[in-house]
Amino acid sequence: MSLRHTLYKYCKLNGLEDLSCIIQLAFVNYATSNPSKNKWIYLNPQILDSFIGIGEDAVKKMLEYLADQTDAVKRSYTFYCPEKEYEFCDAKSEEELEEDEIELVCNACDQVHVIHDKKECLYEIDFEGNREKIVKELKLSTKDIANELVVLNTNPEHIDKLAEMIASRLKVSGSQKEEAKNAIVRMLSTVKDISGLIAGISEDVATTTESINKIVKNLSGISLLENLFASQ
Amino acid sequence: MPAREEIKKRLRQADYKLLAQQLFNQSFDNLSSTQYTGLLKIADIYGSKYIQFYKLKEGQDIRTITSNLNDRNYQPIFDVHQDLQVIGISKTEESFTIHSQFFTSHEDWVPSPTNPNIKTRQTITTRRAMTIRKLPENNYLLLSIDPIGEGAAVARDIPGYLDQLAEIVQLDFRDFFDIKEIDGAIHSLVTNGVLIPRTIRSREPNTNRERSVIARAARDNIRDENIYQNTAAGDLDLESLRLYFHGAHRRKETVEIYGRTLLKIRTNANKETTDELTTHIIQVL
Repeated sequence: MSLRHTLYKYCKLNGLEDLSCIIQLAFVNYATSNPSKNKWIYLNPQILDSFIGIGEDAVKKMLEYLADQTDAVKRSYTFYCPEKEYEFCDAKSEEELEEDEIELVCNACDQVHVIHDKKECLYEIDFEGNREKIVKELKLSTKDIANELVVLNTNPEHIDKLAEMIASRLKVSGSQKEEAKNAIVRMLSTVKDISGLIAGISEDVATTTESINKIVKNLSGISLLENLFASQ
Repeated sequence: MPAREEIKKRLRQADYKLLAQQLFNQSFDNLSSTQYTGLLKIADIYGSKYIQFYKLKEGQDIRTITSNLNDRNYQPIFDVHQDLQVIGISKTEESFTIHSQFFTSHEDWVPSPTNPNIKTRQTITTRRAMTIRKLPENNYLLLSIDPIGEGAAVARDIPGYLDQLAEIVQLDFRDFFDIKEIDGAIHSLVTNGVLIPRTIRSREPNTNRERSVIARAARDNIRDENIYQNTAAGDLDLESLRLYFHGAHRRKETVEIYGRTLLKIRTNANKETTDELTTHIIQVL
């Protein structure tokens, strides 16, 4: 099953159907705005939740499900040094843990710790995502978004989350970001045709700035955004 | 049997069991003492090693060295001794291998056999192997030495061991070979995707500030970090760089480079895998 269908299935099973579009966009936004250009990127449940708003533990459960059901999300085991507890030792993928002997080349004490079961050391489970698969399989077309807008526009919380996501992609300072977000909320509530702006989440971050700039130029009454982007 | 214990210390269990089957068609526990010695000859070269690369100097003839070396059967020594000892020499006209060994000692707290909670301070002596191999297919020579302490410290000790070796065999290979700087080759392998950088520690030459990045996720790769890029460009001085190598086999190998010339490799005792990485490095040197 594709990542998109698996994600929808999880949302359905867990009463998150209303949020499925936001969750999908949150993943795409995370992948396209991640500063690392690696094939595999670290998926931070806290940051994902800052856009989804269902709680960090619920996001972790969702990632567990995606890691079990798809090959776009994988578990990464962060081990801590057996000699110096709570100091980072090594990170291993699930496949590497299938070996009879697991060698941890320790960052903390510079030794090689050989274990036969992950439980012999203190560890935490993190998640990594395949950037290309996330963007490709979860990308929304403007047509998809137009269909979803009916749901999105009926819930002010959804508009707020979308605005948060879009504002996070703008190259503006911390205090200006909050102001920009509030202005985007107004814009999203006002503008009928915002599907292009939302679809821009799956593109380069510069596209978002450009889209907002265009919309601002066609609108009056959003002077804050006009000032913010006057020089961009 | 000391050779058996020595092999178990040096190699992964999966590797020595597989090698016993491949070489002698027997299970590891049933080998004869001659067979254990044969296996240790391999174990002395593979496993966890610091490696330096040397290249034959222009105008030098390798046969000057090979004609002055005498074959000697590989015979490891398990009684603790002070100085470096040559324990085996094999050669052809174009290549040679010199096996040598020495012992180091350090103090450590060792748990009592009857009660693991009670520990006593003891002196631990460890057999260390140093092998010099001139490869038959090219003009490169590999020096491999067992890990002792951290990279930079090992690099400082190597000339002393080479002095001792030169005295024993009455021939100093450094007269014929130049050490190669391999940092550029390693960076090329990262660019080509052969090696994946996981940890980098570099020093800013102007301020002496150390900068480092550690990838804490299994598939992460730090080659797009500014610190890595500045180090590869020569703007920062490389202290150490830890990399992963995906060999032909499923297992990942760990490679670390210290400064410009010293590499630490943890390899399988499997000639294909080991030679695969060495070949990659030599190709871009």
